[in-house]
Amino acid sequence: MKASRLGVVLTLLALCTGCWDIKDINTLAIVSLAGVDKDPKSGDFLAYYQVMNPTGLSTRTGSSAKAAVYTFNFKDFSHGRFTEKTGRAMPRLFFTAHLQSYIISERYAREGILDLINYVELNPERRSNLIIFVSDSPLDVIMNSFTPLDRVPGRFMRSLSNHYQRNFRMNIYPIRFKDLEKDLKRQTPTVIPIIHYNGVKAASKSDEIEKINATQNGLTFAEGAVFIHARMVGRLDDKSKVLFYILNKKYRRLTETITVNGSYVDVEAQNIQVQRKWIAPGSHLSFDIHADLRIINNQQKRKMTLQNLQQIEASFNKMLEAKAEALEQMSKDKGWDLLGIQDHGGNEDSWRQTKVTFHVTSTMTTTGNTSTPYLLE
Amino acid sequence: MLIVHQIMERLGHSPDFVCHEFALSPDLGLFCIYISSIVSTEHANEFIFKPILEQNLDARALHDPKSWLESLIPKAQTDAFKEATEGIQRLLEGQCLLISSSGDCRLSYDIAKGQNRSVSEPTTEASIRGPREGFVEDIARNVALIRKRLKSEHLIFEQLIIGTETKTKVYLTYIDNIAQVKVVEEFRRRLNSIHADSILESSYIEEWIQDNTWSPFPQLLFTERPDSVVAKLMEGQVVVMTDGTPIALVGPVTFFQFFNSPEDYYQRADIATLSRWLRFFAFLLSIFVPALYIAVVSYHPELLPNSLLISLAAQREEVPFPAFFEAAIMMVTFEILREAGLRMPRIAGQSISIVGALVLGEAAVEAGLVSAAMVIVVSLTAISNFVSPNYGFGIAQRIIQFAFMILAGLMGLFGLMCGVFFVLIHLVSLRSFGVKYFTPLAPLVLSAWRDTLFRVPRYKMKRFPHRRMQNK
Amino acid sequence: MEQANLSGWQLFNLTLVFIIGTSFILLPGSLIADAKQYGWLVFIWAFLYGIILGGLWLYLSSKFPGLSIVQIAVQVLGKWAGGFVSLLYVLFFIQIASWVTRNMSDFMHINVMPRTPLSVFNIMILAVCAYAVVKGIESIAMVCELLSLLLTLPFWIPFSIMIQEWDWQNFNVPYVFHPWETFLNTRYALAFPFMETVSFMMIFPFAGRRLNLAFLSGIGFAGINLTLSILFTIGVLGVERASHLIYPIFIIFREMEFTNFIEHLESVLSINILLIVCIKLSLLFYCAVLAICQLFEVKERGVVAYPLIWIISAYALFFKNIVENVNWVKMYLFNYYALYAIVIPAVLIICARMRKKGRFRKRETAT
Repeated sequence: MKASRLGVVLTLLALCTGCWDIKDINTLAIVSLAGVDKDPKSGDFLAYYQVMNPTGLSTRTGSSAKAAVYTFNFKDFSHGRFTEKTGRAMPRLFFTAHLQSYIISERYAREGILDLINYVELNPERRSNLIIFVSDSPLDVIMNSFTPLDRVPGRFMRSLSNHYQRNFRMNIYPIRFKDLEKDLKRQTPTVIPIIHYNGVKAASKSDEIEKINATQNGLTFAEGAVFIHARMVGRLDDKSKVLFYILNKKYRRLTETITVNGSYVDVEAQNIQVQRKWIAPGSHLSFDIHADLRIINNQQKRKMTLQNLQQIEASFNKMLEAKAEALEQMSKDKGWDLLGIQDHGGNEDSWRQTKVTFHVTSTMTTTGNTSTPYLLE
Repeated sequence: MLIVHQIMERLGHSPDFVCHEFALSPDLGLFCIYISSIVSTEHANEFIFKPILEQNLDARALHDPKSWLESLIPKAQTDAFKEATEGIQRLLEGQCLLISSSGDCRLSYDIAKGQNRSVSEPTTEASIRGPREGFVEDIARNVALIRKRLKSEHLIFEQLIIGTETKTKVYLTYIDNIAQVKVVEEFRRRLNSIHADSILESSYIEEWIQDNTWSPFPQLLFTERPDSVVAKLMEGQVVVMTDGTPIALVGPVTFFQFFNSPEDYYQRADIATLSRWLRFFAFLLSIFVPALYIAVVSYHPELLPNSLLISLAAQREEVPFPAFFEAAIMMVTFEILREAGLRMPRIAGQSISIVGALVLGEAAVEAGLVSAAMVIVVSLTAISNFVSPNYGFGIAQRIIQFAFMILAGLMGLFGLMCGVFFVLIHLVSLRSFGVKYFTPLAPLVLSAWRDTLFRVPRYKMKRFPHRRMQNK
Repeated sequence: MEQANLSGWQLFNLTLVFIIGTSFILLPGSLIADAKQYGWLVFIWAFLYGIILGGLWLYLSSKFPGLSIVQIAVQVLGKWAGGFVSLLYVLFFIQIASWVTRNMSDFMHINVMPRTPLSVFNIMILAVCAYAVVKGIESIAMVCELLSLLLTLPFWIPFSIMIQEWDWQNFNVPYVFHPWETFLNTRYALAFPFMETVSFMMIFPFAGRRLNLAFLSGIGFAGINLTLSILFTIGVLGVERASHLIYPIFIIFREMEFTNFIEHLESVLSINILLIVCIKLSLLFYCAVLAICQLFEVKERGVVAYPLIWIISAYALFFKNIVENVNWVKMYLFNYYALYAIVIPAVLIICARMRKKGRFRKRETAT
C-alpha cells in the first residue's frame, strides 16, 4: 500500500516538471527584425536584434511608452554564442519565433553567408521561411531607425514585400533563406532586394516619425543583390531585377513606358507567361513570352483605334525583346546565368555560347475609362 | 378491539391521528381511524360517515356487518385487511380504516388527498414550439400525462416499491414490442437489487442503477417533459418514473443523445441540423477554450498570429499572476457566482447575474488583476456550458474543463492531448445498460447517423425502432 | 482473454495508424539521404513486401483460429520451447514500445518543450496508454476509429496546400539509381513499419470474418500514404534540404504560410503525431500485456499493465541520443526484426505441418 501511494505522489511531482518550460507571454522579448554584419578584418559578427515593445504598440489608454521597438546589438565571433549573450543585456527571454525579416549587410553578403544558413537551419528556434534583405547603408543606421506608417520595422519590410508577393504565381516571393538553400547547388542566381536608407542620420527618436515627410528618413527598395552559391557577386538595377523575376521565377506583372507615335504610353503587362523551348538542344534556346496589356496612361495626340492598339502592342513587344536581349548580353558578360540556361537543360561549359531568342506577343485587354485622349485642336 | 389498541399504540401520539368511535347499536360499534392531514375530510364525510350514520340498522347489519358496510360505501375504493401492520401501512398511505368492535370486520377506504401543484411549464427544459406540459410530483398524474399521448396497448407500467422507510412507488415503463427484452430485464434486475431506506428523488435511483459512478458523464438521461418521454419510449428506450419528483429517468442512452433537444423535432430539419452542430461546437469550445488559452499563452506563444501576440502581451503586462492562476481565479469566481445565482431569492438573483458578469469582470480588468482576454474566455466558456439541452451534461462539461485546464497548465499542449486521449478512452469504454456510449460514431453504425449529427427530414427516417435497436 | 469483437473497419484503421505511426516523421529524412529523389520507390517495394509478409501471418493464423501467436507457439512447440518463444515475443513488444516512446519524447523534447526531462514525457504517455490497455482492445479500436478521420484530414489538407511550393526541378538531382544497392542500404525501411505488424497476430483472434481484407488493405493504404508523403517532401523541400533535416515533414508544416494569418501550423502536426503515437503505443502495450497474461495465466490486465509503465519508460532511455538510435537502426534493425517476423512464423508453420497440429490435422471424420 505504501509503495503504491509513494509511486503516485512521485508521479504527480514528476508531472510538475512540465512547468520548467513555461514561456509566459510577458516574459518574452519578441524579436521582430534581426540584422547581421561581419567585420572583414576581425571576423567578428555584429548582431542587431529589434525587440517589440507591446505596451508601446498597443492602443490601450494609459500606456506611457512611445517607442514601438528597441534595438540591442551584440558582438561575438560565432553565431551560437549570441543566444547566451543576449541574456546579458536583454531583460527578457530571447524569443525568435516571430521574426519577420533578416537584414544582412553588403560586406557580409559578399563574403558568403553559408555559415548563417547553417545556423538558421539547425536551430529549432529559427525558421527558414524568413525573408532576407541586403542593406547597402550602414547596418546600425537602418536598425536604429523608426519607420512611419507601420511602427514595427520588421512588419514594415514584410508588408513591402507582400506587395510584390501578390503578383507572383502561387504567391511566393522567393527571397527567403530556404530559397537560398534550394539554389545552393544550382547555377541560377537568387536575387535578394537591397534596402537603402534615404537619410543621413538614423531616425532614432520616435519624434522623427511624427514628421510628415515620410521619404526623407525612410527606406527604399530598389536594386537587387545577385547571389550565386550563397555569396553576393554583384548588383542588378531595378528593371533588370524585375525582368529576371519574370523570366525565371514566375513574376507576372510589368509596368513599362513605350513611345508610340512620338508620345508616351504607359502600359502594365499582366499575366505574363513565359515558356522555354529548346530549338536545338544545348545550343539554341527560345523564350516565348505572352502578356495581357492594360493602358495606364495614354499621352498620344490621336484617337484610339484598333490600329492604334495594335501599334501599342507591337511597340511593347519590340521593347521587351530588346530589354531581354540586353539582359542576356549582360548576364553572359558578367558570367551570371541569369536566364537559367544551365538548370533547364543547358551545359555547364557551353552555356555562354548558347543562342537565345525572345519572341514576345501581347494582347491589349483593358483600356481604362476613356476611349480617346483629350486633344487640343 | 385489540387491533385498534395496537394501531393506537403505534400512531396515537401523532397530532393528526383521528379515531372516531360510532356506537351504532349496543352490539355493533365501529371504529373509524384515519390520519387527518393526508385524507380529504369531505370525502370522509360524504362517503363514509353520512351513509353510516343515516342508514337505518337492519338485521343484516347485526349479523354480517362486513357486507352491510360494503353495500353502503362505494365499492371502488374498498379493500379488506387482516393484520395491524397492514392497517398501519394503509393508514400512512391515506386510507381510512373501518373496524367493527367485534374485530372481525376490517375494511379500508382510499380517500387520500393529493397536495399537488398543477401541471405547468417545465422549468429546466423550455421550448419555443411544442407542448408546455411538464411532469408533477404525483406519479398517478404523470402516468395520466403519458397515457394521454400514447394510447397503445403495448405500453407497460411495472410498479416497484423501493425504499424501506419511504416506500416510494417507482414505475418501470416501456413498450413491449419495441424495447429490447435484455435491456428491460437488466433494468428490472438492477431496480430490484436496490437496498435503500429512502428514495426521495430519481437521482437516488440513478446512482444505484448506473453503470459507472465515478465517471462525470451521466449514463441515464433525465427529463421533465411527457412528450420527450413518449418519444423516447417509441424509440425503444426504458423510462423509470419516481413518485415525489417530476424528473423521469431514461435509458439506455448514448453520448449524442445529450445533444438532442425535443425542440429539434418540432423545428424544421435544416435549422435543427444547424442547431445540433452549434451545440457540438459549443461543447468543444467550453471544454477546450480555457485550456487552450493557458497552453498557448504559457507554453506555445509561437502559435499566435503576430498582432494577437502583441495585444495579449500588452494586456498581460500589468497582470501579476501567471496565466494558469489568472484562469483559475476567474473560473472559480464564475462558478461561485453561478452557485450563488441558484440560491439567491428570485428578486436579488437578477441583479447578481448582471452585477457579477459585467461589473466584476470589468472591475477586475481595471484593477489589473486579470487581463481582458481572460474575461472573454471565461464568459465564452460559461455561456457555452448552458447550450447543452440537458443540465446533467453541463455539469460533466465543467468537470472536464477544469481537468483540462490543470493538465494544460502543467504540460501545455502535450498534457492537454494526453488528457484528450484519456477522456476519449473513458467515453468509449462507458456502457449504458450494455449499449456502448459512443454509438453510432464508434462502433460505426452509418444507418444511425440520420438522427445523430443531422436531423434528417421525417420522410427519410424510414427505419422503425425495432429494426434499429438491433444495430445498437 | 476478454470477449471482444473487432469489425473490419476497425481493424483497417488500427493497421493504418499502426503502420503510419512514427514512420512518417522518422523515415523521410534518412530515406531521402540514402535514395535521393527515388526515396518514394523504396516505400513501394516496402509495402508490397509488407503485404506478402501479412499474407504469411494470415495463413498461420488461419490454421489456428482463435489463438494468438503466443498460444500458437505453446501449442505447436510444447510448453517449454513454446514458452520460451512467447517470452521472446514479449520482449520484442516491449522493445518496440520503448522505441516508439523514445521517438516521441525525443520529438517533443527537441521541438516543443526543451527543458522538460524525457522521462516525464515517457511516464505521462505510458500512464494514459496503460489506462487504455486496462479498458481493453475494443476501446482502443473505437478511439482509433473515431480519430482516424481527424488525423488524416489535418495532415493532408495543409500538406496539399504546400503544393504551391512544388518544383519539378527538385527531381533533377544528378544521382544514378542502383536498385539493388539502394534496396540493401534501405533495409531498415522494410523493417521499421512493416515487420512490426507481426504484433497484430495477437489481435487476429478478436477480428471477424473480414480479417484478411481489412489487414492487407490497411497495409496497402498505409504504404500509399507514406509513399505520397515522401513524394511531396521531395517535391516541396527538395532533395538537398530534406536529406539534411532530421524531421523534414515537421519543417514543411513549420514554414507553411497561408494569407499571413494562418502560419505556425507545426503544432497541428505535433498533436497529430501525439495522438497517433498514443494509439500505436496502446496497441503495442496491449499486445505485450496480453502476451504476459496468456503466458502466465494472469486474469487482470491492470496488475501487469501499471508496473510495465516503469519498465518501458526506463528502457526507453537506453540510447543516449538520437544519432546512436539512428545508427543502430540502420545497421541491425532488419536482422533483428527478421527473427520475429519471418523466421519464427516460418518455423511455426513447418513444425505445425510436421506435427499435424491445428488445422493441419487431418480430420478423422472428413466428409
